[in-house]
Amino acid sequence: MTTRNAIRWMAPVVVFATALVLWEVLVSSLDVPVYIVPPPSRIGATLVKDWSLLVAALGVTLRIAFTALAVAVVLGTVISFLFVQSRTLEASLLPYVILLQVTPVVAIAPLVIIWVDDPGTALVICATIVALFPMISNTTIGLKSVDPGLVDLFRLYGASRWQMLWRLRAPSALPYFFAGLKVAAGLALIGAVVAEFVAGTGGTASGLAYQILQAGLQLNIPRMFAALLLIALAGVAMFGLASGLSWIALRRWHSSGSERR
Amino acid sequence: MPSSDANLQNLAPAVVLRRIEHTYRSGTRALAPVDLDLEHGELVSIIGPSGCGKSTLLRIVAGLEQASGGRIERHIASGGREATAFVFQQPTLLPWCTVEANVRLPLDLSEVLRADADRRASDALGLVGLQEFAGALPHELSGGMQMRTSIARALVTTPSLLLMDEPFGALDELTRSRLDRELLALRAARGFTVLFVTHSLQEAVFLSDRVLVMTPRPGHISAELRVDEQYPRDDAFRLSPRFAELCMQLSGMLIAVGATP
Repeated sequence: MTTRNAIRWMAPVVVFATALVLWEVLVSSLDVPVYIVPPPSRIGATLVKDWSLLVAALGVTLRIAFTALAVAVVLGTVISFLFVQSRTLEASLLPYVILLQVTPVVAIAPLVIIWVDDPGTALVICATIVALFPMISNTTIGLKSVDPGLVDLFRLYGASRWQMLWRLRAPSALPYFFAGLKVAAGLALIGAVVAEFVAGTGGTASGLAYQILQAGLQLNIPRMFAALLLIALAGVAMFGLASGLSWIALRRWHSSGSERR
Repeated sequence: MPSSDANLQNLAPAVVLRRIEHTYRSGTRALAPVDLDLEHGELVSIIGPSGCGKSTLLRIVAGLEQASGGRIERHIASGGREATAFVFQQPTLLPWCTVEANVRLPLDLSEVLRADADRRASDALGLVGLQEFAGALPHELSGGMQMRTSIARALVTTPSLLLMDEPFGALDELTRSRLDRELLALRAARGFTVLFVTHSLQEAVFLSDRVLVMTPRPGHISAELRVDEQYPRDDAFRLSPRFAELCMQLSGMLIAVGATP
């Protein structure tokens, strides 16, 4: 069992290390210029050299992403609860929620940035738009996916609407809610980065996307790669955090939480 | 409470159905007029081909479904919803709640004080022999133990009418006959009235005062078998020639309505 675990953890690490070595060797043996593809060693050195700049930028991007995720979770949950309480409300609003989802955020972002004075708030709004849909869609499905036998049981004992919602629908929806959270966590970061790109110098002028834009203009390709690496790691971390929360909440009773056994 | 029970017993049967009919929204006729008197303390089984409307009839008695026609009277103690309990085909437990919390649920829904509810839940668990599993989650229990939890939950409100819809149908034969015996013991101790739907004629004969045979859809009661064996019944009854004879009689009645068991 420990061997199997070791393989599970080691395999991706080995792949990563091999790719890095191959990359380093190929770039130096083929004499690829640094402004096309920098070697990993150079990217690492840049990461160290520009650490304070990049970490500050990462902080800005993460703050936007997390704020957007939090807003999306709260808003998404509230909207889902309302949808489940009123069919009319769902029928009236769902098309617009879908409309918001299918319209690319790149297309909406310039408007939001023009309309909203504070650039930070504008970016949060854009990222929230991206992260909101999976929260609404999953939580709504979850609140509806209740064992009909349990609904009968609650009716039989004269459960109030509130008891039905709180004691039955909400816990039944948790696995779906967390599935939505895992998707939304990644999307919040993507939304934040995309919005920063669109905003460019009109944005907060300090996030990771801005650093990538600047580095690109200055042909500082190693810094671009370093920033890209940080974005990727941040995405993985956000997904990991959502998965961890999901595991803590569901591991005792839901099959999705017990797959690690 | 016992005195009012006695009064009620003098007045009328526990449940009276007069010309109960049911047609689904799709237009399918589920029940042809059904008449049924269920005496206080009686255990009556309904047996019939699948889809004959026996579950629908049970749901109508429970108040989960509104009959399209006919009259239903319930002369049961306290008259409230808690006086009737329902055991479903599936255990129908809340997967995120412990066995004890599941058993306590009907009391929690009617906002019985916590200390009182805890005591009654623990009593009900004692009845089905699951005290030591109070803290377990449903998925940690076997199918038979889950069903016992479901029965404990039904008994926690000390109902005077127990409606059971093929409760042991999904269990293996040994577990089923053990739970049949336990059900009879509980009834002997508590004196509740039982309406029991099953597709097993052995189970029907073993348990019942009377077995009612339903025809295929639209179902109505076409025959009645009185089981004249005294309670308490045990495995000796199952092995007796009388038992085999009764099963054969019942089998003949089922064949007569066009259902080969």
